[in-house]
Amino acid sequence: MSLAHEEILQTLRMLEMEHLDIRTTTLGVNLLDCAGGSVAEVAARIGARIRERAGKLVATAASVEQEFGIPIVNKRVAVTPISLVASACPEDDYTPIAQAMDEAAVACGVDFIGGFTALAHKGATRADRNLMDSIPTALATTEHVCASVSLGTTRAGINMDATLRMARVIKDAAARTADRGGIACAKLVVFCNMVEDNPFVAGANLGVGESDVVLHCGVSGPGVVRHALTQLDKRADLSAVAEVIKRTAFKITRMGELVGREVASRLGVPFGIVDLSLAPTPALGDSVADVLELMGLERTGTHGTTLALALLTDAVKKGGAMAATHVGGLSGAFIPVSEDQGMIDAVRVGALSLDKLEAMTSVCSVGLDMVAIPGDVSVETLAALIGDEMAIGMVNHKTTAVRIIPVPGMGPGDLVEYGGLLGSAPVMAVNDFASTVFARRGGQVPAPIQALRN
Amino acid sequence: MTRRILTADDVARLEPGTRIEVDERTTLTASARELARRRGMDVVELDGGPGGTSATAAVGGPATPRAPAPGWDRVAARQDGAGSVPAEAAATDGGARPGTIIVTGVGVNRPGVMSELTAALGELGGDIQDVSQRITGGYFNAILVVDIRTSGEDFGTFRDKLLQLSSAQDYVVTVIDERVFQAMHRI
Repeated sequence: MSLAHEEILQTLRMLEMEHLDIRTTTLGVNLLDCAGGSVAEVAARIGARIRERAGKLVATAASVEQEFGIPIVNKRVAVTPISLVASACPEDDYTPIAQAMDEAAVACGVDFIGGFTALAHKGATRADRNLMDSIPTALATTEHVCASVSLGTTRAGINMDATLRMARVIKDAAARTADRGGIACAKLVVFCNMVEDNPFVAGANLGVGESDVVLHCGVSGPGVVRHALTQLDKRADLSAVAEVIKRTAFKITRMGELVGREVASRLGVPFGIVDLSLAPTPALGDSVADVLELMGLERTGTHGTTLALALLTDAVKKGGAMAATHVGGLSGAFIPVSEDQGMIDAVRVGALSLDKLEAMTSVCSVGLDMVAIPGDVSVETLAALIGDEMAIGMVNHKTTAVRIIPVPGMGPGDLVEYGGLLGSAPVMAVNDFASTVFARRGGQVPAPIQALRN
Repeated sequence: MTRRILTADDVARLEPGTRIEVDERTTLTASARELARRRGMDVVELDGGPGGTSATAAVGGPATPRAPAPGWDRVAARQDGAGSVPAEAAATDGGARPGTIIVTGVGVNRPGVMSELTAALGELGGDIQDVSQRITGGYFNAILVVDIRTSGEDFGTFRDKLLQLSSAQDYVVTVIDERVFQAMHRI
């Protein structure tokens, strides 16, 4: 037998007991040629285009799931940033476009559709401003649409005018879905160094450098890494820990590469990238926090957490880079609070604060993700909080993001339930001291110097 | 090398909107090309990819190469800027043979399990390439490597038949494409 008996059993164990799955296959669909002279016209064209391109995605992915025995948890669509597609429309409200996207997503059977997006990192166009202002209504009146806004890059600096505007938009989006814990904010993310080929929501969109249609794939696998670490001697040094994670990440990523290519091949579209992310779910044992704690931390959030996460992220990238032909997206370890039972527990026992979480984002794959904060937070405090996260990304040449929910009517210690993959989020305290004057200054934070690095 | 020749008659039989892929083993006649253009079909020139059978263009007629077994025909997708097709295939398949499945049975040991599995495979014409069985602590786990290309049946038929044997009270059967295991364990 060319494959060893144990190898086959190991794969089966990963699939059946350790939650090995493909987190998402995301079909990118270019909409630039759907531009038109009115919002209604653009909405109609977009709806038709998405149905035409993505109509077979779900059935095709399902057939690969069956034959390969690997669950593909989400099937999604990512489209060209809508602020570009809607630029020629005279109207200010782009909500009908989001609604057309939502209807197309339902028609195609996909979980989410990303790309209600504006690119405002070095100044906002009229269309960018319109899109940002349309977000609260667009997200409150749709189920499957995700919005994202680029607020900064290492090359451009940070647009603090747009940041302040987005802080207002986030508060507004939460208020409009107050009866559901501000869930609109779970579908909204702001970025520094946004990537063009991200298969994960809420930030999925198809960048302008991509082709007409392309399939990207995001892997998962914290449960598999966790199991591998339980097999390791507790006295093993950190080199050994990194090695185990690297080897495991390689295997997980190979599955993503295989499945992604097969789905793309059957759809007759080019395969794009594998996003090498460890993406947790609320399921027991499928937690990034558990992995950190298995390395030897009593609770995630205590001293040593940033180092452990840095080691984990780096090892995942090293193993994954060898396993995939083209790597892209966000690639690292996600630390969404509400979607990871270990993170939720860490917050509830007081081990993990917002400040420590921010430090962890400097070495994880994205940023402050699915964090619930008190609903009465001021717009300026929120803008400053986003600004801090953007600064970490800008200076460190990495993608950082903020997906934060100011939960209306809730304060520190409360727990908001979203259900499904979004999980439940304990509300975390923000700093009570004001950043009002600073945040209201607005303007463009200059790009950091690229030399004299220290 | 068998050449595939597509004439205007072949093109006329295709559904509107079909994508026609032309590889190094295919000749598309001038009149066929013109008809394809008039009917709004996409003609895609492939650069010497192996096989190059087009699953999107269900071209009939005796000149069309037959896929090994239904369900296993691979779409020759064009890889825009993502490397050539042969390199991609080699990168992920790790030498696995398309059309090979791995059947496992795990459960409490009792006589007759292997014979039930092999009988089901035999009925469908599966060609068993390798068998491995272990018994530990009263539990057995059996692994069969089966080539289904010559059986005339597709993956789904094999899976459905074998899963009928599976039960939580007795033994659990899984049926998975061999490429999954090759990709994970072989570089």
